[in-house]
Order: sequence, then structure tokens, then C-alpha cells
Amino acid sequence: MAEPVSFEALASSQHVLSSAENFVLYVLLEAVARGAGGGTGGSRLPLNLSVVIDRSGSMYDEQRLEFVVEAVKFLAANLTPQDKVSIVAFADKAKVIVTPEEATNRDAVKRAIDDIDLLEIGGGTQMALGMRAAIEEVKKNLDSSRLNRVLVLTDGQTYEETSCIDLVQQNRDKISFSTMGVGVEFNEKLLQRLAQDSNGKYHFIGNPGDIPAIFDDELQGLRAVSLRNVRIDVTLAQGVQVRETFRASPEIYAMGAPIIGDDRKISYELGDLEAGVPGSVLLTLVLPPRKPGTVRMLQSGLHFDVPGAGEGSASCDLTVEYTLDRTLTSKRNGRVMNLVDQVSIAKLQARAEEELKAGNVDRATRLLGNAIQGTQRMGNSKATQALAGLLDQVKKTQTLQTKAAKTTLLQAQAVVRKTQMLDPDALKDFGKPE
Amino acid sequence: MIKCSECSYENMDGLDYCDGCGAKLNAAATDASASAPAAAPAPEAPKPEAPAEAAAPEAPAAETAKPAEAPTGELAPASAPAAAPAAAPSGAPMAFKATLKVIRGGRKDQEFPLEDGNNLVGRWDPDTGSFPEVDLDADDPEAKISRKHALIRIADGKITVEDIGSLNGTYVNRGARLTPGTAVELKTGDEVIIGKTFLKLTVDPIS
Repeated sequence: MAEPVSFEALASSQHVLSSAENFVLYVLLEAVARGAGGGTGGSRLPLNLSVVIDRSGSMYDEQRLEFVVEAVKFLAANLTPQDKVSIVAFADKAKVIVTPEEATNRDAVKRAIDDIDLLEIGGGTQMALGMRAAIEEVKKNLDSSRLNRVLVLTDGQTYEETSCIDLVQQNRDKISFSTMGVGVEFNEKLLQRLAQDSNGKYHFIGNPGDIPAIFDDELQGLRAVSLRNVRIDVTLAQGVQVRETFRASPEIYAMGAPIIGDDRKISYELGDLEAGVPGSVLLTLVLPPRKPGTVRMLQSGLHFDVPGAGEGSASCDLTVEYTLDRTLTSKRNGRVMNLVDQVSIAKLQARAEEELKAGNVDRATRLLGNAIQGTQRMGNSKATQALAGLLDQVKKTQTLQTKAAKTTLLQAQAVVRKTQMLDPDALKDFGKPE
Repeated sequence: MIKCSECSYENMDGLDYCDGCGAKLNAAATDASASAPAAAPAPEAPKPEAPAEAAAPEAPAAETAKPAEAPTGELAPASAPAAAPAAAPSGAPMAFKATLKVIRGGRKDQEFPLEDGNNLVGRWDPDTGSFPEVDLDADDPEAKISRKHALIRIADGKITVEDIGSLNGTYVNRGARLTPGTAVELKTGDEVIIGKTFLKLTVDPIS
């Protein structure tokens, strides 16, 4: 059998400047699962899923609830007898409207979901109650050979945000959480965090008509999982520091600067990997000054479970050469630098948001301007357009309080967060000085 | 150190985007074919400690290592793979005596005699292997001097100074900041600024 995964450690440059100062080196650690998903037999893994639906008053706006109903029916039509799916509705209270036992009966699902607006559960947004009920349902069939996931859809600010975070923290080793935010009223930071903390996915849904497509996307993603509990362990050489770490694909987000113990080891949990979709982290390392010569900067190991075939691992070392020759140190690896650019743009966008919140409109405009230059350089017209729209709104509103402004912000976030997978040929001209 | 052309923020070498304003730092040549990690050269057999500053910029970097399997087991120690050729003082011994004297920003009138060959200017730091001949640790109240800041070299009857990648720069006679890696000739009476410490070079013939 072919190796189930490819694993690489790539540096932004094979050469590091040997000087009296620290030197920044970007390192990409990337794992790509092969195969068609579903482990050894080629058949996909059974689901153990609970869908949590917001039925607060605002869900009646823009036909949101109607699209949810359509999406849930689509989901029910695509289940197999092995799948365990439940549906929870919440507002001020939470109620399980479809149990896993009932879910394979399409008529029962249809009746329950069609009657969702008859439920007497109030009109508020108590998301934690809905999540708690969903976790209970998933726990009934909890099994490491299933894809255990809670899927939360909301359009509003929930009460008790910390309860939501706690629930994810307590269950993240067994259950992943995907979140969907509809409209502009929800707290995107909370939904992003819930998904990132548990290696689920976060979706922004600007147009309620996209709800069924996003459900389909979730389902396709779950069907494509081929490696589970993926973890990258890194051992750093003496004196090497990690300045920051970003998840670099399939989505870009900060993983924070880890605290490194005396053993100089760090672990990054990547969750489940879909076949063919790279799971990667980008480290910004600060290397100590050294004299010319070859040094191993880090050792990395990949650990994962192959469904139905036990555990597996792969390893990769990264060696760089310290040199006095600046022409060597200025040679960069195109693939790594492409991701550095994408991560930098996501960072600039996030910083602009912070500056705006602090009332520094000038600084925010400048950061966005630099981000746009970056997306233009990369030829990413979609991101350029999204960021230019955001810049317009910032200039116009000075804050981002209007609905239109908030929508552009959420759209821009969604675009810059999504990793652009580039054709290797497209990288040949990338980064050359103009 | 890379100074941002937009906001003048001083960024660490190797950075791609300015920490200050987010502008793209100097565009670097990109090697698209470099996606496959090269085989790791084996470390040199341990050599007697050669100070890093002994490697003159024109001296070739350690090219002797041949591709081989990466070292396994323990991480390579910081000093093991270094193979910096010591810059051998050439020609006749110095016919003059050169001295650097602190004139401002430190212990005024503190003198440092310069030796034939390379003289590292910087701050004493055994942890990073910095043992400068001209140790300005006590002359650097604002911590503007890098551990390995500059190199003053006496060879072939000439005295040169070269910035070796310091954070805050090296200046001669209050001119433009020296380009790291490029040596500039000094003569008696020249003023050299290291970080924020002012030094004066005096050259006296040996009678």
C-alpha cells in the first residue's frame, strides 16, 4: 500500500545570514493525505453528527429559516443507515427535534423540520443550551471510528459566550465543532474560535441562499476525511525561538506563540485531514547568530490515525546553512513565500480591524492599503476586490458599524482566511523583483 | 536588519513584511525550484574554536561539506559545523600602532589597542560566542551595540572597518550608514560611531 500521507518541512530559504544579529526564517510544515477518503476500504466513515439550529426571532429575516429547512432536508436525503444524525433547535431554550434513531426516517425528519417554527422555545439566542443538547446526542453514539461533529448555525449574539467556549474545550478531544454565521449580527470571533479550538470549520454566510451549499460543503468535507487526529511535533534546535505560528491551510488563522519547555518540543494538533487538502502550519522562527556552517534547525514528526488501519507516522528534518553571502540568503522558496504572503495579508487585515476598533482610522487605512498591494502582487483579484471594498467602507464610515460595512468586513475576512492553493507553475514568476 | 522604506521601522533580517506598518520589505529573489529540501551536508569534524569574526566576507563560506545524510540523534551543537577559515594576517608585522578611544557615549578616554588581523567590535556575551577584542559592553548605556557589531581589520598596512549586520549601524565621520559586509578604509583621526558610542582612531608609527 502506498504511503497514506506526504509530509514536508520547507524553509523560506536554505541559507541564513551569518551575522551578529538574529535572523527570521519561515518554516512550512505540511501534511497531505492521499487517497479518496474514508480509510483503507475506500468507503467513507460513518457520521455521528448533531446539527444545532438557531430559531431566534431574527431567523425569520431574509428567509433564513426557510433555507435552513431546505438544507436539513438535503442532509437527511444524503445519509446512509450507518450515519447517526440528530437535530437541535434553540432560542431561549433548546430542544432535540430529531434524535439519531429518527434521522434515517426521512418523513420524520421532514415533519420535525417543517414544524420548527411551531416550537415553543422563545425567541432569544441561548447557543450554549443548544450546543449542550447536541453534545449529549453525539455522546450517545460516540465512537472513535465515527466522525463525531456538532454543526452550529446562528445569526445572533448569544448570551453566555464563555459557556460555549467551555463546552468546546471540554469535548474537543472527541468532538469537533463547525460553526456557521448568517448575516452580520453574530459574533464572528466566537464562532471562529469554537471551530479553531476543535479543528472544525467556520463559515460566514452572507447570503442565506448559500446555506444549503454550505451544508453540502460540510458534508463533502466529512466524507473526504482520510486521516484522523493528525498532530505535528516539533523539536527546535538550541537557541531557536518561535515568534508566531499560523495555521496556513486549508484556512489561515493564528495559533499563537507557544510556550516552549526545556525539552524544546511543541505540538500542533491539526485534527482530521481530508484527502488531497493540505494541512499545514507556518512557523516564524527567530534563529540565533551563528558562524557559517550547516545546522539542523528542527526535527518534526507527523502522527496520525488511519481509519481501520491503526496509527502511522512520518518525520522530516530541516537543515539550513549559515553563510555570509547575501545573494544566497535572498533566494527564497516560492511555495513558502507564497504562504508567508497570504498569512501576512490575513494579519494585516486583522490588525487593521484592531486599529479601527481603537479609533486609529489612518493606521487602519494604511494597513489595508498595504494588504491590497500584497493581494495585487499575488494576482488574487478576489481578495483585492474584497479588501478594496472594505477600505472604501472604512474611509466612508470611519468605523464599521453599518450593516453594509460589517458585511464587507466579514466577506473580506472570509476571503483572506481561505488559503489559495497555487498551481506550482504559477509560482515560477512569483516574488521576482519588479 | 532591514529598514522599512515606508515607516523606517527596523525589522529583523529575513522578515518579509514590516512589523511596523505591514509594507512589503525588499523584494527577494524567489527560487521556485527550491521546494524540495536539499540533502543535508554532514557537519565538519570538530575543529578548534575559530572565532566567527575571523571569517572575512571575501572568504568562501564553508563549502567543504558534501551532501550526505543528515545527522541523527542529538541536535547539532551550535558550534560544531562551523568551519570559518581564520583570516591570516599577511605581510610584514604592523609598522604602526593603532588605538581606538571612546570619545563620547561611554567611558570617555577608554582605549582599545588594535591588533593585526581582525578586531571584533561588539559586546561580550559568552552565551552566543561573542568575545570581542573591542568589548564595548561597558560603553553602551543604551544597549545600541550588537554583540557582533563591526569588524576592524588591519592587513597589508591598511585599516578597514566593516559593519557585520548590526542592528543600529556603524558610521564613519558621520557619513552614511555603512552597508553591512562592505569594508571601508580608515585613517588616523577618523571617528567611528558604533551604535551610539563615538570612537576615534589614532595611528602612530612605531619608532
